[in-house]
Amino acid sequence: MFIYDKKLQYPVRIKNTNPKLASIIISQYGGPDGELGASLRYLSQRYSMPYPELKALLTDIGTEELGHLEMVASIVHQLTRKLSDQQIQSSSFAPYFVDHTTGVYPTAASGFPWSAASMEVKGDVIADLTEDLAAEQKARVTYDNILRLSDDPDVNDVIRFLREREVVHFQRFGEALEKVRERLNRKNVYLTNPAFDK
Amino acid sequence: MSNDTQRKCPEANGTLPGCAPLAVPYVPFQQEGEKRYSKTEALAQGTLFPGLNLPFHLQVKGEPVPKTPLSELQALGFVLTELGLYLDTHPNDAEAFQLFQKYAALEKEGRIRYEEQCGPLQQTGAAMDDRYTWTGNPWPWNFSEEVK
Repeated sequence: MFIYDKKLQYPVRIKNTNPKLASIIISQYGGPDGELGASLRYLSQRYSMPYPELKALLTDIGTEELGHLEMVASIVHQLTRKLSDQQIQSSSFAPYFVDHTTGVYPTAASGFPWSAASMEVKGDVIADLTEDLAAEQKARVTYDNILRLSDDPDVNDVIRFLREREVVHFQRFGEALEKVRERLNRKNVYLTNPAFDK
Repeated sequence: MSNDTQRKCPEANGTLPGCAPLAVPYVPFQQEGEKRYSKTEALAQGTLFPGLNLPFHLQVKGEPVPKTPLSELQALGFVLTELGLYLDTHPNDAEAFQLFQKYAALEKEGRIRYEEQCGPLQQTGAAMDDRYTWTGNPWPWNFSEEVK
């Protein structure tokens, strides 16, 4: 089960509101490479993972991603607190505002609501871990792009932290693949799917 | 390979098999005994390991993480998270496990100190107080200055 810890993994302290920036950063909440998809991907893939150390890794990274989901939501919430009508009317935040006011809703910046179609659980150890490598890279690029679009140092400090976590997770998933190879037929790792074949 | 404690590559490089089957992806395995940041620096950098710190060219430098009871606890918790992921793939690194034990003890003490000052971190923690304090502000997503 999960127990809630009443703290963020990393401090989020955004001094200035900025609805335009919120309308971009929401993508890491509910976009195709966002933290909601990340946590659900890993926490779902672990059921078809036969190896205990990698059940642990998927659980631990999936849990950390839930913490990142909360951090991204905190950025969006703080960027949109106490907005004036003028701030909303004159920004690209207006289309989001009309549907969600200043609530935090899992959607891509492009307006598409979060979709399970943006993630995969293949039920095959190598396919799933390879997907996880790609997912970490895509999330890292999204954070790169946010750094290109944002000049708020309070926001960028948190984005930089989240981006670095993607790099570390990529490393661990890469090591997980080596753990899998150690257990499989070294000549042909595709001979079986250890998640399914007995 | 992953259990080999012998350093084979320079700092911040990982090991790869000399010869390897085709058509599978390879990420170099992080070696044991790599350099580590202090807990405060680790939290600030987003990793415990300088070798894994690969920043983007665009960095707007924010203010350093302020030293508060919360950020102290966050730093301790972060080192535990990072070491935990490392140990998932390096379970035989005895030195890293000792560090994990040390930080787990420090974090446990840190939580007690934090809760005495700032209220419960978990719902059941409120049972230690003389009234039900779990619902109190600030909640983590609130900017601390907005809810005083």
